[in-house]
Amino acid sequence: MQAAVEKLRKYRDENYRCHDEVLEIWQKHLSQRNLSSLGDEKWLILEQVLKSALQCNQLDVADKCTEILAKQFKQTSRRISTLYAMSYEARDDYDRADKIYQSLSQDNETDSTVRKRQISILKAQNKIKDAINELNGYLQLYQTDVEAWSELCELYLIEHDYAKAAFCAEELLLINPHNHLNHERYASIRYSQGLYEVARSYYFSAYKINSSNIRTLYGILLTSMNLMNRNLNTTSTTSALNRDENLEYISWAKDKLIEKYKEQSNQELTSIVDISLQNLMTG
Amino acid sequence: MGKKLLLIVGLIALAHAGYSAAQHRVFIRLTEQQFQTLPADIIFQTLLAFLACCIGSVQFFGRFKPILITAEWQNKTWDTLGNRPSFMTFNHRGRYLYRFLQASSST
Repeated sequence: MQAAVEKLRKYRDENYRCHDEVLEIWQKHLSQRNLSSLGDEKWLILEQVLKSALQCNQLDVADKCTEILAKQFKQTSRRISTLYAMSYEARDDYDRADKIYQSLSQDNETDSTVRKRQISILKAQNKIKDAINELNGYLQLYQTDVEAWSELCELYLIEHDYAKAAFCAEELLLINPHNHLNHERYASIRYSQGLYEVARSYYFSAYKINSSNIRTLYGILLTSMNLMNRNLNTTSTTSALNRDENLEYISWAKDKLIEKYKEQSNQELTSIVDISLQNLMTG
Repeated sequence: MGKKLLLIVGLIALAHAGYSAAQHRVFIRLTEQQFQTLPADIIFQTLLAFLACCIGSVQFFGRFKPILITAEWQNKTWDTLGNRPSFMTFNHRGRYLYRFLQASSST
């Protein structure tokens, strides 16, 4: 039981997205037991299980959890009301959920979780434009909210608005310049825009921070390929120089990739990798 | 447990060294000698106890963190970073996937 509780705590603290596992742990190890020995953590676990149950559409489990939580914290608790509204959301009853959120935000306008939920309702109904507008309003108030910037970036990507998505990715880079995944995301957006030069330099900076990131190596490989192919068409004096430089990058990235795969896996896979790299480079 | 013990022993030894030094001064005064330096064993005990206290307290208050600022993110993947729990929505594949699983497990 201790192991189960610790695992749940890890999932909760580190933002894991494995709701089916949470539910499995709950049903196998915890649901039949008396959890009061855990103290206040019991309520956190119940909330976590409730959200996971909603994600997996196990509404009976979710209802059980809300019942216990509501008994403990009364109906007036804002957090419980939010959970109720979320279970309406899971039943596609967005009007009722929105009504709850609206009354909550009238009581306290500074409640960021409620505003985030209202934005997610818009997203769930596929009103991406409205969600973007709301989220922009939200970010004017809470400029350091990493999660919100990341969400806005994602929404712009859904709309194929790469320039604005890149702006959000830049904000995330500024907030956390030591995270290699932020560099990688920014580079990938620039790559989608066709700005291979910029993309490559950010792939390199991601690689500099974390050399075990395979995606950045592929990024370097592909950006260099694209730059070389682009320069083939223009017959200027610098293109030969560029070509050599790009070829150097390509062979470097390729060697690194093969090296990484050799560290990890057996002979069989490395031959497959070899072939697929060849295909990438000709295509 | 060992760390705690080291810290406690160090503190006691330090207190004892201080007490011995005071005792030595009293002894010097009573025998009307000129005070020059503390005896070597007291100085040695003080230094040793100080070292024990240093090691003990450093060990006692949690683990060391890696000094590289990028180390915190080194093993993170997009799976956890890309997940944004406060913007979760519910009308996704989970609804259909788990309905199907439930039906197949009950039959």
